[in-house]
Amino acid sequence: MRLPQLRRRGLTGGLIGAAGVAVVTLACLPTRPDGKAAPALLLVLPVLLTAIIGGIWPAVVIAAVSGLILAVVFLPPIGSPSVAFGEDVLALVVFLAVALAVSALVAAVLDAERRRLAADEARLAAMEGADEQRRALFRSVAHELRTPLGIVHATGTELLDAEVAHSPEVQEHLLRLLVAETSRLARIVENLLAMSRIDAAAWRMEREPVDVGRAVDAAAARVAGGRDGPPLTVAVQPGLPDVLADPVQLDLVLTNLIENAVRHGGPGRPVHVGASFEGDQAVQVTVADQGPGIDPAVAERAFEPFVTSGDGRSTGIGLALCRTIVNGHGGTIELRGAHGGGTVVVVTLPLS
Amino acid sequence: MAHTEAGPSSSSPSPSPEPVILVIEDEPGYRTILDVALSARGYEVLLVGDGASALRAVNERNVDLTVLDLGLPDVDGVELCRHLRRFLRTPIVVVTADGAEDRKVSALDEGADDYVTKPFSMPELLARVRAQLRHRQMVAGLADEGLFRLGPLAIDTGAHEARLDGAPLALTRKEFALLELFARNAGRVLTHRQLLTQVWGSGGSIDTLRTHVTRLRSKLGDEPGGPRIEVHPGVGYRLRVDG
Repeated sequence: MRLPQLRRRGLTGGLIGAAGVAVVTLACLPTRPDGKAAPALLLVLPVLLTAIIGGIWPAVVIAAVSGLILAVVFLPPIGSPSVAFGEDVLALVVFLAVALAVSALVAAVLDAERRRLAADEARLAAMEGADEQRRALFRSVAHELRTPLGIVHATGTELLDAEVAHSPEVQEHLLRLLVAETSRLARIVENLLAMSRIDAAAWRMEREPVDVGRAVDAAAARVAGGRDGPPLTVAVQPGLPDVLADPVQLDLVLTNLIENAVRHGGPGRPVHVGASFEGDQAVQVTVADQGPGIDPAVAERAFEPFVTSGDGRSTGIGLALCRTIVNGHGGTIELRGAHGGGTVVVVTLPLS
Repeated sequence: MAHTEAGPSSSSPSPSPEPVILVIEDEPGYRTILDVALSARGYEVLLVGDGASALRAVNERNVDLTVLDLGLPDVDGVELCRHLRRFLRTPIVVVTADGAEDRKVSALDEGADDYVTKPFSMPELLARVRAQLRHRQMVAGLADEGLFRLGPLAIDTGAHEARLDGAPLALTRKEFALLELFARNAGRVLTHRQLLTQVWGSGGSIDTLRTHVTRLRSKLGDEPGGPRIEVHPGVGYRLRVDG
């Protein structure tokens, strides 16, 4: 329970308790000077009420006030806080002991109950959040797997169809398509595993000096291989120093970015990959396509996991994974609109 | 099989006019397989990857059938379907992702004739294409005058009379209106909404439609080669005539 709320509850309890004390006192006034037992017993009630509503500390205050009223108003000598020895002292002590003991007990029980409820609520909220995330993950993965699976299915059924006999060239072409799409499926699964390892913090970064130019070349060659994609050009500035990076993770980033550009850049439109100095403390890798470009609103959120750009088209977990890895290396990644349409992803990696 | 935008695909010098199929698809893998499979069946394939090129293609060429992927990146597929319908009288087959039920129905409402759900097998898609082209030929022959014939089905709109293999069908007024609508759109999937608004105006409910279609189906019988009303759950109905 939050502090202001607790304070408000204590104040309410105290006020109600004080009102109760006043009522009991006024009601018992006519019984003086003989009535001692009735006010002593009845004054326990407002203390108890305070403990129930406001907790133990307001109850202690109200008990003290009640004890004082008992001593001044009801126990002889009336009008003075001093109390005659003997029975009256005993009455006062017993009153305070009973009032405080009952209050403490009630307050402790109620408090435990409130705390249990609050914990339950928090746990429930956390579970719902995790559930929503899991659902989003399932949706995203399903979207992402669907396209390559659909292409594989259509291509496989076409190759099996006895109605037409394709030439060996066409057959090879279709088989290459099957291979390209299955490697895309493999990449998606690899991304998922990488993501889960990062989530579980089980993936330690193994940094070593990496030649960025060579890494870019290798990733571009792998994406280009086997598919009749758009033309892919690579330009690496000469004399680039090595960056300290985990080669496996860096490769995952580059492959994801280049594959994204090839896929979303639009049929036949070239994709350009560049690596160059950014100042003298960083290296910049850019992946530019000439596709329809990206809505600025989507660009800002594109690195969040599971953002899909309408129509079930998924930017998937690929970009989210890239950001996690790049940030882990102390670098930055952003999406920009390119001159004359298209999208550029800019990755900046510090040299040290 | 690499293509330039909207470029004609087949360079076969065959003089006989091949049906021209416009494929609107941006995903490279689907483009390749659709192009290969359709070309291999003797169709001329026009491949485009976005809405603007699609509209250009239908203005420049006579397209016999369009295969439209509803999930294009640059344009709403349903919207594009509506625009295409203004220029095209030939069939449009939309390709949708599984689970996009409402978009499928919207596309049919906007004038698409049939749909295929991803993942699809190539023979399935090819069968839809063939069926659409065949039905279109059949329906294209229908005159707007009172009497027309569709396989074993003969309809006389003036006399409000339908015959199946020469035998008159006992139909109520609504059943007749429904059958006429089906027959004029043979081969097309008609959505619940299209059927309701055209036969009942605004007064019909989906339950009314269902009862009428059920009765009409039983009256048409299930003779092989005869007209059949297909049920498309959550979408609508289609009259198929294979004769």
